[in-house]
Amino acid sequence: MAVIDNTNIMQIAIIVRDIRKTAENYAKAFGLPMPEIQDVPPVSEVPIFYRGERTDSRAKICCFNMGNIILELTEPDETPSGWKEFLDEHGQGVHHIGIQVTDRDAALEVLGTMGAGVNHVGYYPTGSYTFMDSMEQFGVNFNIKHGGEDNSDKLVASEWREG
Amino acid sequence: MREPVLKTSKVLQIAFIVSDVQAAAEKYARLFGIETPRVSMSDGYEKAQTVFMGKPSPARCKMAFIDLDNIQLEFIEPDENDSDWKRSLEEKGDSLHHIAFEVKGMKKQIESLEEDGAQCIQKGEYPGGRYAFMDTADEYMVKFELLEND
Repeated sequence: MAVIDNTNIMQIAIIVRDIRKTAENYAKAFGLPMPEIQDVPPVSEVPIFYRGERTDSRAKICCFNMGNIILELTEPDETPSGWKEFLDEHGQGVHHIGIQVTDRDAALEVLGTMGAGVNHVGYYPTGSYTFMDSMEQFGVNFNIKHGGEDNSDKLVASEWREG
Repeated sequence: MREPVLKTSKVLQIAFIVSDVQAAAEKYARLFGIETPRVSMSDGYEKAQTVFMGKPSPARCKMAFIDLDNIQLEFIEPDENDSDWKRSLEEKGDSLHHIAFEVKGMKKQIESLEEDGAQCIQKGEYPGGRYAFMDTADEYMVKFELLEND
């Protein structure tokens, strides 16, 4: 039977309008160092498919190590993405809980049979993250993270060839 | 430098308000391929000493807990009385309600967060400890629950 094969929640991710302001709030509240706020890697390096379409999605991101879990903040920009969709529909709040799985197909299958579909996928060279639309069924979206992949075929083929 | 408001950053719980705690517990157990946890009932006012918006409240709830590897999931089904649980269900439906942090010295911790601008929405006792929901959504984008275990 297909299941999510890991009971460790790796991260809680929150969508925000002003990442610097919210990060400062968290840093002060918990006495944690202010994290570096970074741009999500460009889609030329880490392609994103949002609602099945290859998109140029962009966002700012930072992480807090809370001890037993990572707290991630993401500030979308105006580009289409799962992040922007969440902000538009729900406002600021918890976007997803992230779990690193060994069997990605099984995780997507069990979530699928329970009514959740794929919203947004990002392909790193050797791993991926997948935002599932599962708020209705589970009260929160799941981010299924997975490694041991070869995603070189997801990169847009270069039109320039060495002669 | 100002003292941090919360001494420990470890997230103890992710909690959901649901319309049917049995169904929610079964769903999550199915997802992870684990045993469905049992449902329990919170205490009445005499033991729970529930205070909602500054007033004593008879509100109770049904609860289920799933202990995952590094964190606990909590599912809460409100009863018919007015409470933060009930209002959350009415406003947002089945949804994530709070993340919980362990504190020592609940009274002082509540005061600390109140000085910071977050009011205590609801609090109460349970066997072995106490909780408080703080309206931290404006600054932290999610409600914080403070938990103190004796």
